[in-house]
Amino acid sequence: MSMNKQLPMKKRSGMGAFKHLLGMILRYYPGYFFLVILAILVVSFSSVANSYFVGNILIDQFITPALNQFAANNPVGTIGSAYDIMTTEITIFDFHFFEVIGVMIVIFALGVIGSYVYNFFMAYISQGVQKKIRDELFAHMQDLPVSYFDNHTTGDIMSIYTNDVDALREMLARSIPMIFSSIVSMIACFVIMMMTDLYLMGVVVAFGILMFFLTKFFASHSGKHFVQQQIQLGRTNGYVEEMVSGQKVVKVFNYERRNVAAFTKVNDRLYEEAVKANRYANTLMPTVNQLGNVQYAVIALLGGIFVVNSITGYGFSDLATGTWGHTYTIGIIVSFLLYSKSFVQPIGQMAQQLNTITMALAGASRIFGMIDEPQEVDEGYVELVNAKEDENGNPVEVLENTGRWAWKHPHADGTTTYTWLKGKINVNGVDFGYVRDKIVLHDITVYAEPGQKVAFVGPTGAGKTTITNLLNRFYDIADGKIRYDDININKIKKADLRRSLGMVFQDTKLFTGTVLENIRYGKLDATDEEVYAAAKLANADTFINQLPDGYHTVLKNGGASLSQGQRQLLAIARAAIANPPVLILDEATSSIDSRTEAMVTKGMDQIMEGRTVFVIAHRLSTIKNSDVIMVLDHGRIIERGSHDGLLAEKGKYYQLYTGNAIENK
Amino acid sequence: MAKEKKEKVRKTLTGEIRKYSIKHVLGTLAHQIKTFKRDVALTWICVFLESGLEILIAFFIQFLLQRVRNNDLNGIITWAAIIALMAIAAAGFGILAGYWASSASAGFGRNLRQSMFEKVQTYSFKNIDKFSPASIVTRTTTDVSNVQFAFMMICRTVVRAPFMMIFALIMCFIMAPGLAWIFLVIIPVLLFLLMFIASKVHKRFVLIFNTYDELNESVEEDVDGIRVVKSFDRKGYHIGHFNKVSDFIYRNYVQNEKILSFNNPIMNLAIFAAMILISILGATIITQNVEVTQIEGVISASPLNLGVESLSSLFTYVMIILMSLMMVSMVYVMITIARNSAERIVEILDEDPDIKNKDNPVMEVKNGDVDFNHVYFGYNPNKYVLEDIDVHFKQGETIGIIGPTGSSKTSLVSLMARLYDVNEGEVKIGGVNVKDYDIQTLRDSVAVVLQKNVLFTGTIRDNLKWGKEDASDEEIWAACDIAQASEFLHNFPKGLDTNVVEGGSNVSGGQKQRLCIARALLKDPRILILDDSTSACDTHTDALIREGLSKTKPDVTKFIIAQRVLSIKDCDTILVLEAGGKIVDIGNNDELMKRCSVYRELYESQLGGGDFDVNE
Repeated sequence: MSMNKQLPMKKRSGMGAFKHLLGMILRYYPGYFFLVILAILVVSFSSVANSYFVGNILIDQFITPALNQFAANNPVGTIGSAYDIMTTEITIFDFHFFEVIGVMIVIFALGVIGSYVYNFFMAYISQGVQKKIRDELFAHMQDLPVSYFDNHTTGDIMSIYTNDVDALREMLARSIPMIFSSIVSMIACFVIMMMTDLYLMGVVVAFGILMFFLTKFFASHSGKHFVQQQIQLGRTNGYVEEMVSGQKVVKVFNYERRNVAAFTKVNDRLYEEAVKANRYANTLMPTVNQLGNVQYAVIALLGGIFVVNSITGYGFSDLATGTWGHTYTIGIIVSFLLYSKSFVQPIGQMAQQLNTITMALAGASRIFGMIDEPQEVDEGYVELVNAKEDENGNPVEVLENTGRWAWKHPHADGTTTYTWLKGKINVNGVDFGYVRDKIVLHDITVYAEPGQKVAFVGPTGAGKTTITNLLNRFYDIADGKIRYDDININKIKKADLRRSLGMVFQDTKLFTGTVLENIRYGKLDATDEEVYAAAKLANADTFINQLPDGYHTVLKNGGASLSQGQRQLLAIARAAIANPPVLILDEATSSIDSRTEAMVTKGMDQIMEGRTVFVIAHRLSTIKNSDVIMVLDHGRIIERGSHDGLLAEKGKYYQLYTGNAIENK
Repeated sequence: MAKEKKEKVRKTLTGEIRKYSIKHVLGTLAHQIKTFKRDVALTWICVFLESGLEILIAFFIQFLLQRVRNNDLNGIITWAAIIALMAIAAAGFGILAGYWASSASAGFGRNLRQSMFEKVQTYSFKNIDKFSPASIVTRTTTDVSNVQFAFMMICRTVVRAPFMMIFALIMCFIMAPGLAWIFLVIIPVLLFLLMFIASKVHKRFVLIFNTYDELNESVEEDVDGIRVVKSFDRKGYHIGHFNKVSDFIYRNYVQNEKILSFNNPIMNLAIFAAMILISILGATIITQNVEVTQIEGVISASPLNLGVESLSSLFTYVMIILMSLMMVSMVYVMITIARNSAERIVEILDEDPDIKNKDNPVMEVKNGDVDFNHVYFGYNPNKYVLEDIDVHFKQGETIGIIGPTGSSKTSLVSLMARLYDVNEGEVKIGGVNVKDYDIQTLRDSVAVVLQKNVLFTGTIRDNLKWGKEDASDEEIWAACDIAQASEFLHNFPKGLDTNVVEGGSNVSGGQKQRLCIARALLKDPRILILDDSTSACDTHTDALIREGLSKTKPDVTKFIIAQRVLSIKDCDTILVLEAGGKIVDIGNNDELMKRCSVYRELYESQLGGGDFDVNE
């Protein structure tokens, strides 16, 4: 099987991903989300009220009238001497003032509470959605077909869980609420500006539009480079991964110096892109901020001109006084300066979030792309059930574990029949190709009676492993039929089919956990004694007892601390404890020395008794005593028969066996 | 397990697990800025100027407003122009600051990655065993990115925020000394609260990030072992584990976010409190002393102590000061997050390679004699996997090593290239202790074909040149001839220029092994070690390789580890090992057949031609 893991990750559009996210929030956290929105409204309202209070109320309604009142009460005596300095006894602290301050305190308090409420519930929403996505991804992934994993590298898949889900965190927790509150603030600000003065509002809005376009410009440029940066980051990642994985080879060949030289190139490219991306991004903030100050000057200038020239301004709050139009006051201008800040600040904030959002949506589209990947189709309806014998020797379904199994086969007419699980496998005229047009198995026919041992031999690439991959339906056949106890395997539920086939793979995979847990993986409810027994059968007991903590030794990195042979022994123990009616051993003992293998085989013979066994091996002792040996070449069975029979034929098997030169091509 | 984990959680939360002092971490990282110090300095200068200008703008605004109040149109125009120009200048400095901050931080990240990668190159096998490749990858990419981002923030914000705050405070004291004391109360209280929150969440973040590793591991193992998962129908088992981990992250993250939720309300509270206080006090001060003027019959009163316009500037300063504080706390949280990454980086940089050149090393390997003098070796010091190995070989000998799984065959040969150091005794090559050689010299002379071998992305020629950088095509083909790789290479349409994909998955196992042997041969070594290097080759090819080696490399001492008796039975000397790393017997085939029952048993179990050809 030569797989080229080069298929790109499926993606969904950014907008589609955004909608999906929003949909998830609404589905899982409608109440919290409602509260968050409410809280954001309160917060925005209170900060707008803040600006309004300072300009319109404090200055215009209290300080200025008080000063004017004082001046009126203390007129300067003589004309010509222009001024007089006085210490006043004015107080603006009347009841009305404290009433207003009181109202402000209440509004502010609401703002404080609102901002707590919104942050508090947002924590649940953003973390909850992330958790849901992670769990959903993982659960979905379990039912993706094996070909998906053939076509994508582990690193690529993992980066969805790490980089992409992580990128989402910032967006969910900060960007989305910030954008929402920014928009609310802008609207509130807009309304109050409309109430106060339309001319000055025009200025603020014009600046807002200018900033919007500037933001768009810079963001699109920096976005381009951020994408480049991600690509270079991926390359660096790939280089480091490949080299560090082969670090021991690097050491052995003194390749360090050349390795560093090559890495420097990749690393420098990443540096260059990172600089470019950040330069654009970093230009945005000071530009938007200072544009705010320019706007400040412009408003002051215009306001000044309006005041000096006694121009009449218009605002909807004028209607409250019954007259359309007002003269400009210092209070109006001060408030507007504050409004302009409140109106522009959200634009800056949103601009700041843009890169986060771009990256998050890129991640989200990969995430949902994976969720959109079609899962393995399982149209099977025949189930594997525990059974016991009735008086006629026929199977009857029971709930408890009897150690005996039967196929439960519901029929179209509503009846259900039970067949004993025996382990008879018939492969009939099967063709198969990983890619549609490239058939790698031709017309494969194999009959295995219950309890028989069938061996496959032949050169790499002959299709031995592929046949076993069809039995457990990792891949579906193109043509022909495979029957299991006379049931078409397409009718059997995949999980049940696979449970009934014990697989030991060429490439042993162990999981992080203790040795005990790894063996128990084959049968989750196995007692410690059962585990020890399985380990003894597989001849793994000896070396396990030599490990620092025996059966409780924790294996990490797929059991990297064990030798390849030791890992294979554990894999055999794991299959042994599962106690399946059919065993498939794919080069299961290739790294175990012959002496140990002989011992394993003794144990295996015990487990294999009464079971159908398919074995792929290149070692003679492993296959010699098989009932049938199939010799494969280029996807075809070219010879079949028993060891002695095949030797007598003096064909390919004979050549292989005697170790004579082989003509390959 | 569960108990251990709880203990670990507790220790992380109480801060008992913390390997490095913050000083050490910062010191190590600061050292990596190197050539980009200039960019950092320029960033800070620009940030300084930018924030200074911004503060002045806020100060000048009151003059502008005074002119507005006084209906002084010329004054308005002048001040508006001044402010606008200053804003443009501030923008300029801001852009420049961002410009240099970008190169400073990207450069910092570059240097970090470079130093880490270079450091990893100096690691011995023992050091490599300590870190998983995945973890080194995460550290050089994700962790560096985190630190790099934090660094950029530090360059721009951490400097900017204190500048702004101090400038703004000074201005407040100049404008309204009667008011400014408010800040002296609010700032320390606020700072204390924000830092308290940040320190509260820090430890839990450490815990969360450690759990991230567990989550990644869970995904990695599931993806890698998907065939096992599917064939045992164990998706429920894996989902259960994954959900447990993701749930742990969820709960702890929410806990942290809940604490962080206090940040914003506290800030708002401070802003509002300052507003109200300034309003009340300001109003008092403004109305305390006034100047009454009469111009053209209009009588007006203007405040003396504090102008109405000044209120606006004061409010701006309130915002600046509190926003700066907010930023400081935000950056603090970010540094908190980055701190964990920083520590993981420092861990790589601090790891001391345990095999180093000694001073004045021997630069030449004279011959291929090998002596193991009472060698003891173990991967951890209290458990030897090789005990009292005392064997001696002459240059040009071929030595076969055979023994069961776990008999430390690989460990034995690793000692010759000093991939590991012995615990006791000594290994001598050419009469010199391997520890006395220059490591590169030694490894150039001792070629090891590892059991777990890899080819790298690139052409086959690129891969073979690992053995000799400037190898000519003739040399390459000669090595391939001996390694029996020439035949299949000729069958590849692109020959030596055939591309190898990652992990070498587009060549078969047997082809890969032969290429690896050719690669080692190109080194022209004095000692050649084949560690189970022909296991995927058929017996015939295997024999041809051995034959080629003995013909063309008679002076090279050859060690052959094999599972098949056939591969070693013709060796000059055969070493039979048993589990636990002890020598059972040593001798040639005939001697061993006579006196060594272990060997005889092996021989007989494989008798009859041995293995099948599994590779083309």
